Amino acid sequence: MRRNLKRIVYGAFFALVLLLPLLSRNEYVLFVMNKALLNIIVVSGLVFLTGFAGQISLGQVGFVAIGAYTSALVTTRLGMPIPIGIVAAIALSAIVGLLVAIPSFKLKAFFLSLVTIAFGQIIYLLIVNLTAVTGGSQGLFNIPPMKLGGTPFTNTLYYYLFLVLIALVGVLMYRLKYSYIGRQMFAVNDDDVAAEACAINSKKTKVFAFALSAGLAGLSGALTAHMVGFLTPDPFTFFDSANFVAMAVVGGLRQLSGGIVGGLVLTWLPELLRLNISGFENYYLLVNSVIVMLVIVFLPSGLGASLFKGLSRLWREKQGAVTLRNSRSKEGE
Amino acid sequence: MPILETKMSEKTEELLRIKNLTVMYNGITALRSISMTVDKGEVVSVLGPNGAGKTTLLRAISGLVKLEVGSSILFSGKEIVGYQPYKIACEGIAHVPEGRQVFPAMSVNENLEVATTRVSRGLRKGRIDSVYQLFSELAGRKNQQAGSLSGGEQQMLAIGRAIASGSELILIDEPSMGLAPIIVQRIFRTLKEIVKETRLTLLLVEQNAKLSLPLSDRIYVLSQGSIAMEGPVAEIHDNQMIQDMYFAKG
Repeated sequence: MRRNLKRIVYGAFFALVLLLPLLSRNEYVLFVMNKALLNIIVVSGLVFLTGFAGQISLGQVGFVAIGAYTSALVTTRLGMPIPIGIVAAIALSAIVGLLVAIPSFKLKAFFLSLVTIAFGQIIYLLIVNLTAVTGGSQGLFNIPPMKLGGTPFTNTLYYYLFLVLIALVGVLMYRLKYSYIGRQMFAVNDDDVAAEACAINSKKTKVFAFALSAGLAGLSGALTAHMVGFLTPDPFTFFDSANFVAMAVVGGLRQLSGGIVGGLVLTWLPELLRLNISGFENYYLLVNSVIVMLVIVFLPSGLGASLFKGLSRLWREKQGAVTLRNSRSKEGE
Repeated sequence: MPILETKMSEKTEELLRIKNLTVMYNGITALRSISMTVDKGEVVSVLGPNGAGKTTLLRAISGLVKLEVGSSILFSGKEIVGYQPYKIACEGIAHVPEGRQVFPAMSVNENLEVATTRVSRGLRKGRIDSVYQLFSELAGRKNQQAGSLSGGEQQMLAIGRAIASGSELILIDEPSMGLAPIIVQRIFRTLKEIVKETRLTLLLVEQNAKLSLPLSDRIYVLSQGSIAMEGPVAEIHDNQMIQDMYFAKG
């Protein structure tokens, strides 16, 4: 019975995820969903960096921007195919991530977060001021969309592509978490001096975490560029970096599901508040922030952990009820 | 069957040689021209009052503090000054620091797993099992978070981690600190067992001379950053100053 209930809940969830484009023909819903999926990729990297390896990044949007502009420039200016643009985006973001990791050898917590904020700001200012390359505030246009048999991707196709990528990222994260590297990450997170005493190269571990999370952010940025078709500096501000961190914290920093839950909830929440609370259209971000604060205060391990805890309790209660019913029926016999 | 590999030979072989080791903190000398040796299979204790530089000595060997020019630490004949702490651990020196420093959010088993970085994959499980044999208290708590263990269990885990690492030399800093006497006795009994059965070499810093001396082959006494006295246990034990400092009654 317990197994059946579990199957039903997970089955319904996966069916909903797979059939969403068929259930909702609304392009706006699909677009927001695609944005949520792209955010999940960034936040999964952030969960890996912060939750697993214990490093803070308040400039993650800088890597997203590097990925977005790299792929856009490689495809528009150099005329290269989109897959090459995306690979270049991942590679360049990861290399920059590697460099940003260097201050983490000496700096922790507050000081490291300041360095990453500065990094995000530098990237933002470069985008605004390098007008010849990035188009500055005017933006970069005519970024080619992905194509299938010569036809541009629809939102539905992007949706399924992003789902596949999230599944791959999920498998990668799962393998890493339960691998020897994952244990080393958690050791460095808990106490990097003690980790070094266990023959763990904490610098290498931090560099790997930064490079991987930056690479994922770059991938998300590149996909965003091709899905949207144009780029401006607006979505690459400190506010966006802080929002990614909020997504990771709300989802759960130590859970693999943290990136998925946080990315979904905090992409959809402001949209739902904006559209559904009449009279509060101007205050939806305020309500959104209050909800985020409440979640952090009352569910410090994140919504992901709480959701799974709640489901486990539900399985147990159902199992208990079935056991009780069986024992009563036996007594009756 | 022995818990770990049994002692192969009693032949003495120098494992650690420290020469002219000097450490300064902001212009203040914490260790002054320390020279000492530790042979393979030997238990060497470092005694001394608070602030004598005992912890700094272990941290210097582990690469956790900056050494002054001219300092030399040879481990198995190899100069390790300037090595990163993880590299020193890779060479075969495990450090059980003061205050344990277990990984609190990780389980007991995960704590032991991360310690086996330098052990070949096939031998890792055996190493971890040998720790569970030595400290049966940990065996029943494999999946418990290390941060939720008692102080004594955390100390066992910290020592267990050093044993699981397969290091030739283990540096242990104040294993009795903040623990109940019965737990301290239990830990020292196990240390004695390990020393008796293996070729493991220990460099032990311990305030409680009554516990550390019976375990040790040789003693160094530190005072104000310098070695004030050194010699075999029997010789040091009979010294009047040591008697007054550590064994005086009342």
